[in-house]
Amino acid sequence: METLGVKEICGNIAAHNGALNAYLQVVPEERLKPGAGPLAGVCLGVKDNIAVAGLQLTCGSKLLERYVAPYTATVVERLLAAGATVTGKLNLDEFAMGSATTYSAYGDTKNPWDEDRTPGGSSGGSAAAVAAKMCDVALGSDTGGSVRQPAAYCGIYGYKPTYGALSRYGLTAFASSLDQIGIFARRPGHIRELMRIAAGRDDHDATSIEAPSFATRGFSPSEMKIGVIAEYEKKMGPAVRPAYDRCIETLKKAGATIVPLSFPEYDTVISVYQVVATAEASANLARFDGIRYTARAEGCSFRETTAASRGRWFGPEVKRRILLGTWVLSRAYYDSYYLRAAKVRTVILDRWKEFFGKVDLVLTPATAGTAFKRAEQPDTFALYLEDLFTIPANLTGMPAIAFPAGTHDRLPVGLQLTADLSRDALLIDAAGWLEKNFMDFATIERGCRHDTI
Amino acid sequence: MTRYEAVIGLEIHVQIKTDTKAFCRCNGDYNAPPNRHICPVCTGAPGALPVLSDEFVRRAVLFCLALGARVNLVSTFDRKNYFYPDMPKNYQITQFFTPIGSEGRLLVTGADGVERAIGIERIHMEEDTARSAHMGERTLLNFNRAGLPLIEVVSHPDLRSGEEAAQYFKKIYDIAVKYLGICRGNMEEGNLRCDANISIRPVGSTALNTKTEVKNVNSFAFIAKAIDHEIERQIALVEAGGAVESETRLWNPKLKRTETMRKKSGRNDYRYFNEPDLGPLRITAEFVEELRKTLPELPDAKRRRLKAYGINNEQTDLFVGYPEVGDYFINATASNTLQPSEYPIVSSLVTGEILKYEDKEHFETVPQRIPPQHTASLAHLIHTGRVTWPQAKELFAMMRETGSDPEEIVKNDPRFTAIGDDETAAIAAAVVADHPAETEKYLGGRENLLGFFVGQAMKRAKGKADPAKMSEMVKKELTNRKK
Repeated sequence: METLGVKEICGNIAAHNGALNAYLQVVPEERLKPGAGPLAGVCLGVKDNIAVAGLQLTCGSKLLERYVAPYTATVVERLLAAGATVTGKLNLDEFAMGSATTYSAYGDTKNPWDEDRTPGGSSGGSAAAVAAKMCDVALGSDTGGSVRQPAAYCGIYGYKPTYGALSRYGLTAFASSLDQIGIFARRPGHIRELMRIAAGRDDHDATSIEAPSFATRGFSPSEMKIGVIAEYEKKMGPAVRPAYDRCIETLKKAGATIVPLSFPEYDTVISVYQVVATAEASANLARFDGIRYTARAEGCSFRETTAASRGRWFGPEVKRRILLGTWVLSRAYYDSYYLRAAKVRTVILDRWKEFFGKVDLVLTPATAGTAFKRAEQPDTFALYLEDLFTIPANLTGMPAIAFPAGTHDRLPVGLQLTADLSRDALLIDAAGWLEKNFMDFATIERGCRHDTI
Repeated sequence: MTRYEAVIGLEIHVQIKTDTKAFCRCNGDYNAPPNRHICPVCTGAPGALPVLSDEFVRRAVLFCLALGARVNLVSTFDRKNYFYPDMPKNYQITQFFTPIGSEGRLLVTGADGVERAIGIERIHMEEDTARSAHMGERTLLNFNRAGLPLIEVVSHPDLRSGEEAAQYFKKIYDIAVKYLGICRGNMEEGNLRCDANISIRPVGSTALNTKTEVKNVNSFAFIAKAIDHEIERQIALVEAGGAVESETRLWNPKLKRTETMRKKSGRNDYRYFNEPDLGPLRITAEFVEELRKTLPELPDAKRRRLKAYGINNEQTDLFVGYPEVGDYFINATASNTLQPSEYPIVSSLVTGEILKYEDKEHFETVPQRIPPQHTASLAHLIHTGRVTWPQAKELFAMMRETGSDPEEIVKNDPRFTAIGDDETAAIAAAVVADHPAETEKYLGGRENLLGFFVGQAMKRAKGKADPAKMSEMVKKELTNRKK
């Protein structure tokens, strides 16, 4: 795989990280020893909620400020074994809860295209680092769109595999049934190379699956049926619409059949997601009690110590979601919220399975618009709506990729392709075809201010 | 005056003996130096995930089958959420919505001597917590025990007395520890823990009244006492016009009474939901049937079978309670052409002689060192009068030491040498001469008196004569008198 090289990457980190705040921890250049293997020389940035032994694991939280991971995530371990080098730990919204990387306890990350703007979230550090060439590729985590939305805002590729294709062992859990480690790259081919190495069953993750094939079979649009969703077309903003239309036009011209689909449940996805994700998060984050590996606020009893530690160091968004999750799981509300959400989730899954009975891929926007200004961050609930296009892939477990689709007003626009379960290779093939036939890669690169070309 | 009956249900936690913990591959030796056997999974490190132990599943299914329960081919793992310092994740992985086993039963014998089935509502798999040690102001945590496999057996409220509860608890203990060998059975170390839910009601009522939970009645010494005491306390309270409060109580063995531990203010809300890291546990009917084939004979069946051997209740209890000893007895009776009338002798040899030397808790190697057929031979020598009981005891010590067949020892050791034909004949003649009245009767046709003469003669020969030879000699002597 083509790489920038340690020297260039370290130079870029030194030049831009101060302004962008993408890395929370940078591994010094002298410690970046390239390994041997198919990924030799690949510089890998890792979101700071994924464990790498000996490096910090703050999860963007004050609560884990001094915590050092005692073990390495399976995905990272496999990439290291293939020769990759970890360059450092990347900024994120606290415990991956957010859509703008503004909920990090360690400061905002800035969008390399415009520092006044958000890189998206929660994997904003990963997206910014890849876009600004501060690493070759980066790992993020995607629970409701946390890889795809920032990829779209930063003009790069953001891929969420089929649920289970990448082991979650070592990824600090936010919502276990939705979480997937995802990959940020400037070229779709890089994603394929990483997946070939990192995907597959892991004895440490009971939900991991046998790796789907990542062999390329080429992509011939004339054999493809591409679904488009009427409800989503109404929801995208004027910044995205032209790119979306152009993309459909390109595919059509190449012989693809465009199939209109209807997703009448589209407006339930945010609610279902909020219930499921917060419920699981309320349990997953219970372990941060100030007793074992976290900052401890002294109290007289366990209860006091726990309450004081969590009260002092969890940020407001994390507290909000824990409270909501605790509430929807409580005995009085379980049936009307959690159980109901779980049922609607299966309806949504059935709907998307039905789609893939008719089409090979579904094309949607990745986001409704381009990156917003950090100073103009929408309110809490408007921010939740950011995930409208990306959440279905998490609820269904299906693979999806956000890909660059040009710019609007000097800001990148991202679109999204979704495929059926385990058809990850098709997704990457399609992104590869679009890279050549739809997206002018060089244009995107020149748009990024921190581009060193 | 109102008569009351007690309504008792038991919740028993059985710590399962496996090589590893339930959800990680850490060694399950909880007695190792503190925090020796720990990993990211069992300490709840961020990013660690549970992976279910196959061995745990096999043992759980075996336990369900032994308790006569339905094995659910699809069961769920669920999170039980509550904060506690010895809970690494502040939730426990358990089976709430669908347990691995449902609706089992065990027999207990009531005070009236009638056997009754006690229903088992559910059998579920879960993980143990860490252990805390309080050192003055500080609390220290040892995670060796965190994540060890536990099975909880929850009975229906079918028990009616402390004695029944004790029987039921003992039976669960016997099955898990003695029959299936899936639990170490060390009560001091908390391998088995028992909590009792107790309420009372007037006889004839079917109401379920406010109950109290008595914690940690896991001792054969005081389980019955603790429960009966709590029943009496509740009756006295109600008789005095009071009402039973919902609370958790502890048995104080020194003062021999239960004491309030904490009042239950409203129900705890554990916010159960499916454990997304594991997904449902699916097993096949074939898997269950394969395990059923490996199931040993269980206490109730064993007791039923032992009834046919004509041995006393004490011995039966011992053989049921220590299945290896019981199997030894059964093998001894089967290994020879023993008559059923000789079984009680075998039983007495096992309980009286073998257990004088051997530990019934560690009986595994006994059958190799003292083959059951040797014990059967010894019983036969006793029965036929070839050796007396005092000789038998001596003989047993020798065969235990040398591992030889008692038949061989008797043949070769002069102390057990049979007397010669002449001496036998002399004894036969003397016995006949000493019993003229009986001789008269015998000669008058009462031929069944032969046994009497032989018995007397063998006694006089101190068992050293060959009974067949003696019988022949006595018959000859009597026949001679006829002439």
